Amino acid sequence: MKSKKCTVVLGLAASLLLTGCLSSGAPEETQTTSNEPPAGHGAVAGAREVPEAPLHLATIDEHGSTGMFDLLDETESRLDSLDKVSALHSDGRYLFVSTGEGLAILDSGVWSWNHTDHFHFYRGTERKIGTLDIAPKAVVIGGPLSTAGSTGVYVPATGEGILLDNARLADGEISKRFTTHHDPHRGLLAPLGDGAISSWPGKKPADMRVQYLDATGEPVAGASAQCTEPAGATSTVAGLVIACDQGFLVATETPNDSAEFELVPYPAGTKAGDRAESLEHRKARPAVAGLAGDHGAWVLNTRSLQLQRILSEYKLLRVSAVGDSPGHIVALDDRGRVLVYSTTSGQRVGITKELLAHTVKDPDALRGVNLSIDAQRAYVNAPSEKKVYEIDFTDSARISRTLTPATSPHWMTQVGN
Amino acid sequence: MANVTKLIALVLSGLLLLTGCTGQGQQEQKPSIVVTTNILADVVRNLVGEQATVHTLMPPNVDPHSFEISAQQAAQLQDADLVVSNGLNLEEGLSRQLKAVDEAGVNHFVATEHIELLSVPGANGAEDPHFWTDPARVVQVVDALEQDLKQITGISTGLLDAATGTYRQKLVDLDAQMLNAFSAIPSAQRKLVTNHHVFGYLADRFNLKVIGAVIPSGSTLASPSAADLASLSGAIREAQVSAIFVESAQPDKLARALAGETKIEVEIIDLYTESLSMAGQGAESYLQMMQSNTEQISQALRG
Repeated sequence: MKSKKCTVVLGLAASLLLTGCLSSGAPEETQTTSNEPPAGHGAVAGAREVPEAPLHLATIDEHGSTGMFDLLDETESRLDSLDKVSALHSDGRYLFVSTGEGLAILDSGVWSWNHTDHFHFYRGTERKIGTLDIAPKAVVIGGPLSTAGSTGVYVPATGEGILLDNARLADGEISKRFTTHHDPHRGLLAPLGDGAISSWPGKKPADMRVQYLDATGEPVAGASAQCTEPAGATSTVAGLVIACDQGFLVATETPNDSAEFELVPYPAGTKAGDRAESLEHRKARPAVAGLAGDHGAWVLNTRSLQLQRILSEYKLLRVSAVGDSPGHIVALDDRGRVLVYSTTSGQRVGITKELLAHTVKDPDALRGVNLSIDAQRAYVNAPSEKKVYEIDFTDSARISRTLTPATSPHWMTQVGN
Repeated sequence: MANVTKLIALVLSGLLLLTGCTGQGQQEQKPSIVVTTNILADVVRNLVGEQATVHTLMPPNVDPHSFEISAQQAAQLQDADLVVSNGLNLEEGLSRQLKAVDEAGVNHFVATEHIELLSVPGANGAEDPHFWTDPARVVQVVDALEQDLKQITGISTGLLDAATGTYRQKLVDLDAQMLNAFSAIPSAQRKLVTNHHVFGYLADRFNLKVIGAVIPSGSTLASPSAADLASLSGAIREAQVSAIFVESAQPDKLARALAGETKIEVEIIDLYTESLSMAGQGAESYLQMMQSNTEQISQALRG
């Protein structure tokens, strides 16, 4: 018990102590300021908590204009303009945009916070955070939370990896936790726990592996697994899943700041061309989906480690998993139709008409097509048609809304979820 | 080298003591109590009155998870005569600072260590931190808190006893008032159809049934399907209530969708849950917050 307030704590910055002692002189201070609402939508201190997920579409047109479309009330706003956009990725809050200058990072200002048994939802201010000066075609992998943990950026062209601090991104700053350097290879850097999983090139394909790095970027002995040609990875509620030539590798953190791996191999006889190239899913859910070449899709539950294959009579171009109880999978085929499958029944439960008929014939337009999924709806952008289709996957792929954002959706992703 | 460091420390501390403690009169001598949530801060203020300076870390409407305290608040924490927190992971965003407080040996009162806990349904036995929805449990916390406050040098036991006695009586009156109000609801209608996760203790104390429901996202309300409304309409039909207590960004749109798609007409009521309101907005104190919620629930369910 201290009877006097101005105790000197050695080791702390003098300026901090000065501030602390000075301010404690003012009687009854904090409460008066804290009763005032935060300036605007939560100036620097944070954001406003809102009653439900502030779902928005972020769209970028062919000239680099960037906009936000509010899915709740259909109002729109604009973000910064970008130059020579070649890819768009999001973790549900930040936009990572490959541009002529490097990787531009924008804060959409809307996000959800998963508190295990329930969610909190926030709305702050959208802003451009900055640009990472790196070569194009970076692989960006986010973690489960936008306000804590890290985001991994890997540049295949240079072999450079950068682990970004999410708490600092939330404050509007680009801050590197650590960087990694390898010979250029197809690989990744993905956040896991306090550290990250990094791909590790080898002299021959069989030597390629993924390695857990601790919070300082140091490899942890024994925490690695064989993984040839890591093609894609995503964070789920049951761990990080990586698509390797061998199969799907699920990495989970262990209490001693290390990681363990479980391999779910491809069935015997799987052709090289049928291996998954990327993994897509509704944020945080354990079910992930990837294309099985020209022949349907793979669906993995990262919690039960069950691998299923959906066979489709159509050539699929995009696929993503909802992770709901019917095990819905949403896909886009090469005729521009959206299809919905149920992994529980193994049946196709819905198909739309040819919504993206023009887009699928134009390689440039097709490059920007994205299938985003939240708890209730799927969104697919049609760059040539200048529309976004909202699909109700629980109701036979019903088109619930056809949206025409003011910022034409050459690129699109969903944020606020 | 060691001597030089010591000398610098001495000079520094002298300077600080001078800066911090000159010309500030009587106020400066007050003990300092740092409280994490605004609900608990209101309770603490009612007990200590003018005897101590009460600092609230989390103001209303700030993200408790990404919320980081300022350098000034960090110094307040380390320097506090008592730190009061809710516990059970409610202050997840402050866990590092609270751990540092414990490691530094600062006195720390954790409210949920002094009550009988309930678990969160369906969350693998996780314990529910939202004890304040039951005023009887708040009385238990107040009783335990009084003992810790008594230990603080500079707090008069006589004044504390008197203030605690008065506030305890207000809590007992609130409890009786709530018991009365909820008893007036026919027992078949004592049901809270809600998407809030904070009313477990309230339900436990006043014999209400909480029926959880998934509220359709605002993005679906423009063009809802039966499936979008199934969880909520099912819960309303099961409970046969005329009012539901849910948070929605667009309650009018939700009411219209329910009426249009499922022919259910209900009143949609928003309650105070985890934070007091701004001054003058109906729930600026714990007692007001509870009275407002009680009135809203009992009026709506008495029908």
